[in-house]
Amino acid sequence: MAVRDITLGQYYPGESPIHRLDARTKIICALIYLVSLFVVQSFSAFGLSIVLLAVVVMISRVPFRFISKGLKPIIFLIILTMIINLLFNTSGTVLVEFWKIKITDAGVYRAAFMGLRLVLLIFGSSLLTLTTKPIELTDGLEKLLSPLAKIGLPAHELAMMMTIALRFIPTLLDETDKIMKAQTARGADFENGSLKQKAKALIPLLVPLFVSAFRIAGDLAMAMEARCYHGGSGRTRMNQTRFGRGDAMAFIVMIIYVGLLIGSRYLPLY
Amino acid sequence: MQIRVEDLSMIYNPGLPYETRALDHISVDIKPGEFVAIIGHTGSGKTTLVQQIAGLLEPTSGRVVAVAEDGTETVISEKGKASFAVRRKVGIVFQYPEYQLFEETVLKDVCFGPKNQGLSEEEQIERAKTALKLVGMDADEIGGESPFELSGGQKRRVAIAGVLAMDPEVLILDEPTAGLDPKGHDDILRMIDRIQDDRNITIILVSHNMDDVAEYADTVLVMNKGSLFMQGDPRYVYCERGRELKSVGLDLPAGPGFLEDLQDLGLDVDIEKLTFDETAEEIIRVVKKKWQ
Repeated sequence: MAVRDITLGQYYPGESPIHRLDARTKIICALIYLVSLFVVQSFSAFGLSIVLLAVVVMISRVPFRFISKGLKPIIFLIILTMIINLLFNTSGTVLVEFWKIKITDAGVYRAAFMGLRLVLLIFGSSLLTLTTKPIELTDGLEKLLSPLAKIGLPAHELAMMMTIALRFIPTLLDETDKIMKAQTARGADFENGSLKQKAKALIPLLVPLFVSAFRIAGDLAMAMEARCYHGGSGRTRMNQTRFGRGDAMAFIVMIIYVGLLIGSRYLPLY
Repeated sequence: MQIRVEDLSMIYNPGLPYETRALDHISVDIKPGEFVAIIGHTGSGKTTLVQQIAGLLEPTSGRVVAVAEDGTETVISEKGKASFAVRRKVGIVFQYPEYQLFEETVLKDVCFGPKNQGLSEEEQIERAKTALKLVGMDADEIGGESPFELSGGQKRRVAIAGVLAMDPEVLILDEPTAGLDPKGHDDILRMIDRIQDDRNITIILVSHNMDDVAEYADTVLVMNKGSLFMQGDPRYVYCERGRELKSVGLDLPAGPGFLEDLQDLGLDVDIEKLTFDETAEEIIRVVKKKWQ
């Protein structure tokens, strides 16, 4: 019954320069960073990625344990990837050999490389959601996608849907928690029993939850209409986003970073 | 069955920036057959407290114990454990209980609790019919209807019947009248009072309505910021210590509240009156005295 413990869109409140960056800047920079991780081919170039990430983490003042929390659900995947790389890479000199399995130096290298890449991917992307409010994030996405509205992409509607979905995750979690407790008080058992029994036990939870979700959605639609919501065209916003000096700095840093990475490919680095 | 709360504390999100202390070393005894009201502001810990009494939430420290008539103690909740067995002796009706309805028919929904208690089908239906009667509904008339087609007040009665059908010795109600019209409000409270008389069960009522508390409760627990601020019968809480109650921003029932206002105006008023009748008599006495 740890429904409350689930954290989604785990924003860590703060006032750091990273928090204050325009959401668009952060989205673009995060994207560039994630792509760059796939361009990197040597450990020394990874060193550069790690330094950049460490500096950004330090500026953002988000405690490291919050960032590493993002690893927990994916740790199994990382270990699996590393093991597969370790066991099935047959090129290079053999270090250990037993039964049909050969562990080679290239395999070890590859496994460490992939593991590091995945960890950096998670850290880079969680840093984006940790330092950006969900609402700012969707606003930023809407702005970034708005040029595509000309070719018929409903950018505003997509962003609005995302905003609403994010907004209602905690509400629905609360609702789930409440209904679960109410049904537990009536003797429902969500934890024990066979798979079939467990699936059946979900009915008293899911039916009221769906009823609630539809009720909330109906109320919200009514409230939006009562305030004359009619889609995105001609809509102004309360907080106008603006690129500032910090954003310019961020882009310059990213350009230098990418330049160095590309340069490193032409150097004989290990 | 007596409920004993021993040094109970509850901390949400310990160690995080948003750590909150919901309950702060609460100790209280609730005697069998007592009508206890819990009052306090939103966020004062009322709901957390009753959920632990019901065995639905693990405390951070301390424990809740059920003491049977022969003196045997059963732990309802303590750190690392929230009990299932006693859960069935303690029934809890949540806020807006109509949101827990899920079955195709009213009768089936009320049977859900007894079914989970492992009763036979005849017993389940027997229990459900009795429970529906207790909340003033006729099982033959509405038992076959969908609970989703009832009115708001009716839905709430059905949901309360769903808990009563489990035959609890202690019935907890968390703001059972929230969102009802004045008539529905009075109906539900009178119904609770009647159920207590009929069955001689313990009632724990979480409420914001001071008039209801003054009228029905034997004991009032006043919660403030997670602590037990005051405890006593309504006369003690509202009359003797009414001004302290106001100092933490809680209201008085209409009668004592009005008499205190008169006293503040400089009239010679005895504020130790609780019910409407007593208040009315006191006002008449004061007015007569003024006239003479």
